[in-house]
Amino acid sequence: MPLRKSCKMEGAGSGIDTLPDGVLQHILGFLPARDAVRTCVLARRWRDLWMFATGLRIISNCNDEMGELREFVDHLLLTRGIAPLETFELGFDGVSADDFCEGDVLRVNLWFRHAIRCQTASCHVTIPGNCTCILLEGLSEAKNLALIAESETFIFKKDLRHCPTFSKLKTLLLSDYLCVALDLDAITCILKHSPVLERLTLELFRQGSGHKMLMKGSYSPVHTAAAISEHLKIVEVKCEVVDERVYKVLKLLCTFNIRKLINNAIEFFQYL
Amino acid sequence: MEVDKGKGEAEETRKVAEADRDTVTLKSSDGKLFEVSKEAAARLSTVLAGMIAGGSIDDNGTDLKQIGSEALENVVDYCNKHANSIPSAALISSSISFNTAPFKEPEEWERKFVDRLSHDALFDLVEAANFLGMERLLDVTCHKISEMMKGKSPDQIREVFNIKNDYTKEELEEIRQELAWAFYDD
Repeated sequence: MPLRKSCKMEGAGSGIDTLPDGVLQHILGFLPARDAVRTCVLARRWRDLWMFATGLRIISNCNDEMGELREFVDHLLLTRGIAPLETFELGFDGVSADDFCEGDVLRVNLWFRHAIRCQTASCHVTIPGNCTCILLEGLSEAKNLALIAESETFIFKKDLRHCPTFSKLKTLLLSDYLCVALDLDAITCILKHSPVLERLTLELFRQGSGHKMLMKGSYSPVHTAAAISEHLKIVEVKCEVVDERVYKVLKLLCTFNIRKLINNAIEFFQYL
Repeated sequence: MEVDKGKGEAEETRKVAEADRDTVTLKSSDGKLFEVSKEAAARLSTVLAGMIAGGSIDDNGTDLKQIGSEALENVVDYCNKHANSIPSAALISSSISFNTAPFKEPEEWERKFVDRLSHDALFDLVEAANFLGMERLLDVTCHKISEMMKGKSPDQIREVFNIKNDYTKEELEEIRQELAWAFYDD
């Protein structure tokens, strides 16, 4: 079975027109949303392809006004409907935190709910610096989640006081490229609010440098420490060096009975 | 001519030998043969993995009638390079063990691999990857094509990909009005 639907244009010549719709929709899924929508004017065949793009990447530029972005995304979601999505990416790098008002928080949560209704397998959020908005609420229905912190303060500090329960969350990736955003309270809180979590990955290294170490651990539930998901099978911590911060995280994990964080940096590249 | 007696035995021996081989032979639509590591093929292609597991691999070359020799050569090349490169954690986490993570950017070698291809070779490779169920290769090639479209005006995209505009002027105007929210700064 091919990966993407093959409804190929009969008698098409060569070039991009020979690709099946499913593949074109996958290609559009890698484009920023606005570029993807605009392909509708290329030719008749392209008119509706963007609506079924496998990924939706809403990425703001530095010169984007929050108001414009709001309008764009609302229209976009209404027009595309709930065609299935594999990836939903929301990046607010270009938006200054001052423009991000309380109403936007609700709105962003709605966008996420929409994405989750489209059976999105992976949500990816990048948050502007100094922004302490509540995003977790909208994500609480997600099954799989990747939260990437690329700026100095992360969503969690304020959010955590109202941390929702991630009742369906099975896999979680927390990346902290600047090594300042994720703190122990954040990890604790998320773990405690994810009752069915099966896999946790923590990336604690600087962006671009890659990690040199991978530590794997597992959770052995004992009756005294029922604070976190009893389904947790795999825990991974990726880092460059074990510095004080990583050490603290490891210690924290130990308090949850997550042990055997073996450092097998040399032979860990084994395919599953 | 084969003698009936012992045929079953020969068949048996052949099957065992096949199972022991660590490569598989693939045959393109134009009859060229390529060898690829069985492990890499099974790991990177769901279709080949199914064929290997189901025993439908032909020792004299498994027919892949939908794939031309240039595309198949690239597929095999990709499998071999993939097997040889030390995969970064990014790759592992994106396509193999953590398939829920967002798409990870292509590796340096993957980038070089697709950059050297002509447009037509790239499109053929996309189709081959799709046909063979090679998720990562499909992602890398589709990502490459998306980069060729990114930030370009519709006219520029039509030119790069040789797309014929079959809309009437009125139709175009109508679409632009309907989707004015996506064209607001034009």
